[in-house]
Amino acid sequence: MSESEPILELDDVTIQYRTSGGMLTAVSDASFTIGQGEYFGLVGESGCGKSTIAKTLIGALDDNGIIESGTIRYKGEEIQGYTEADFNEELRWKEISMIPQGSMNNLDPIEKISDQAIEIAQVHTDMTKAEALERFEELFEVVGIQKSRINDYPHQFSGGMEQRAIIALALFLNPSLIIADEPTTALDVIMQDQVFKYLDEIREEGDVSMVLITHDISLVFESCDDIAIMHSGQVAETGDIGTIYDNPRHPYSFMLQGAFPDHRYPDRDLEVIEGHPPENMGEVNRCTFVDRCPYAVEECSESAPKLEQYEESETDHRVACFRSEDAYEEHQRSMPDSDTAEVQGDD
Amino acid sequence: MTDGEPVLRLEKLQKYFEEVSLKDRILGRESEPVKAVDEVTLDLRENESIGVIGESGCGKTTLLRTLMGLYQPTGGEMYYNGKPTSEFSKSEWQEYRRNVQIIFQDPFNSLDPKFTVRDTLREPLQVHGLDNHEERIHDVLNEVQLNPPEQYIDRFPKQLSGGEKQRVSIARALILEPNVILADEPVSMLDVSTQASILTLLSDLMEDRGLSMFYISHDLSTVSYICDEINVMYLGRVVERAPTKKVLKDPKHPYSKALIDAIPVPDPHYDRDRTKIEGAALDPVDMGSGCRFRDRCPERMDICEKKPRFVDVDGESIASCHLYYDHESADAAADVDEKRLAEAGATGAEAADQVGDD
Repeated sequence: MSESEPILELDDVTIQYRTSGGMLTAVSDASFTIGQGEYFGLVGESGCGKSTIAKTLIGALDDNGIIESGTIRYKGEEIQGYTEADFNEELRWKEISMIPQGSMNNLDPIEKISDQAIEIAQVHTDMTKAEALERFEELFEVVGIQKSRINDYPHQFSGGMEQRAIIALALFLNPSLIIADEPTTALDVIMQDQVFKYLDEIREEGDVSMVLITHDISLVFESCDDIAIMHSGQVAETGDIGTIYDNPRHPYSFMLQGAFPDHRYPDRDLEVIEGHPPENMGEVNRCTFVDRCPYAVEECSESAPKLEQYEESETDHRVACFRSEDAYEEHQRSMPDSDTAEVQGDD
Repeated sequence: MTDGEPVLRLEKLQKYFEEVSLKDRILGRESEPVKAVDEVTLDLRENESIGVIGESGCGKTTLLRTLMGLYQPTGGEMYYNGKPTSEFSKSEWQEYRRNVQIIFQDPFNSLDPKFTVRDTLREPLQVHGLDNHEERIHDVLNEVQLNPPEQYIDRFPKQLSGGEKQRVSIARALILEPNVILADEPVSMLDVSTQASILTLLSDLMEDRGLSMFYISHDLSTVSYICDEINVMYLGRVVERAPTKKVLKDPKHPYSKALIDAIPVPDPHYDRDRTKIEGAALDPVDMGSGCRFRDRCPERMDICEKKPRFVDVDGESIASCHLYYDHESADAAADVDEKRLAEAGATGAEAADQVGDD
């Protein structure tokens, strides 16, 4: 992780939704840090709270959602108490922008894309119309679309191009942080790869940080520096991608990796994680993975494990598990033909 | 043809969609049809599972719907147990629909929210006039590992997780004891942790019941768990056919290569190059007869304006690409499908007669 000041820090953030059944805890005591210029992957299954975090960061949490406790610092300043007006004036688009899920309805269908860009510029900056258009044309070239097409309507674009146009909008006002929430989930693999090609290029420039929210751990392993794996509201493990791949120490984290198909090894057995994530009502004082974890002991249901530095690791690598070491060893023993054996066998 | 008559056989199956716009009609213009499925030839044998892989818009869903009998093919023929479906009577269609069942992609929307699991599973039994409802429902729930059945039978879809819902839709497909399953991306909407268990369930069921499966998907990393053979489809045509592992390891058609090279790899130490393919697939309208991938193909040659033959590349892979045959030699350039159809022609017709006589 870079030594410079982090761009975003979450400290023990708990987010709840008011429901007819009581307070539903979507995120509980989540902590992670994103450095300047860093691409950070936030991974987990549906319902793990990753999209709730994304919405919170741009102040778009649903009406029934509240940040119950914890602090969110953006460039050192606490933003968890920001109002709608604060978000609009201080953060949205020019500091933090968002690439929403790659579905086809993120742009206004009856407005030219250039008009949508001008509107954003007029609300959030003093740019003139001409300046805005010039800047937007530049960005179209960055994401690989002819600049003459800024005057097109969204339906004139293919899915991949539309998603790239949205990336151009996200970069439009020079933000320092981009939140990409499943940016390529609705796209086919070749288009997904085209989109990531441009995200790679933006990263080369080094000024923008990104939170990549996805269920697909392969995208994070290919494109990010650091990763946090979440399960049902809790951050299970966080660290740099090399460490999390080579030395995962949370049962959910190594089981999730084992469940991922890798087309290079079509014969490998996929791991199954039994059960499904629980709905957490009220205060969460246990590990949310306990019901699905084959290594759980009584302690795991009595209190929530803290996210703590894993001592064997030299890098910043934090794990929230009471049994990480024992569980990892047991897991290794239960897998006689480990990955390495297969890699050798394959060659 | 040694392994016996295929359960399902498609011969140059075509499904074109013709949309005549008002403007065209006023101007008296002929409109170009959308060639969603263009001369697809396929055999599905007993206890075999074949996959059709391709991006959205490649025609795989149209193909599946045609197989279900939801669309009338606009050309070619489809045979079930040797009999052409175009000659099916109403009762034969009913029998076909009982024997050929589908598992849908989206378990969240393909179950009636107001039906309990029991209602969902009882409906097909009623439609097809079968008895012993309770017994059959219990048996099939056991088979899809919703144990014990009592715990699930009275639940509504909203009381089930994604994986459990997909098990119910698999049970719904199995309860009529079909011999062919059409699977439309059955795991793409599920979380990875449940994906593996559904894939294992499907391949176990195929083995236990001797089912044949026609599996369509855009996801090449999960097909190897189900399919013996893969057909890669691009804009309505099959461009490559080979055993699954062969395609993954050694794709021949430039499109198959591009598709496989674009799959992200869950390994940070593996350095994969990003795709070199530009642009997106167009609609299959007015594309001429040449190779449909030619505009995006890194290997493009002049001859690609002509329709490539579907040739045997190395004894395992069959590809429809000009790179793989000697255009001078008629022998090396034999079209595999044409040859097979010619050989099968006589036997296919006989078998059809026999079924007709029964």
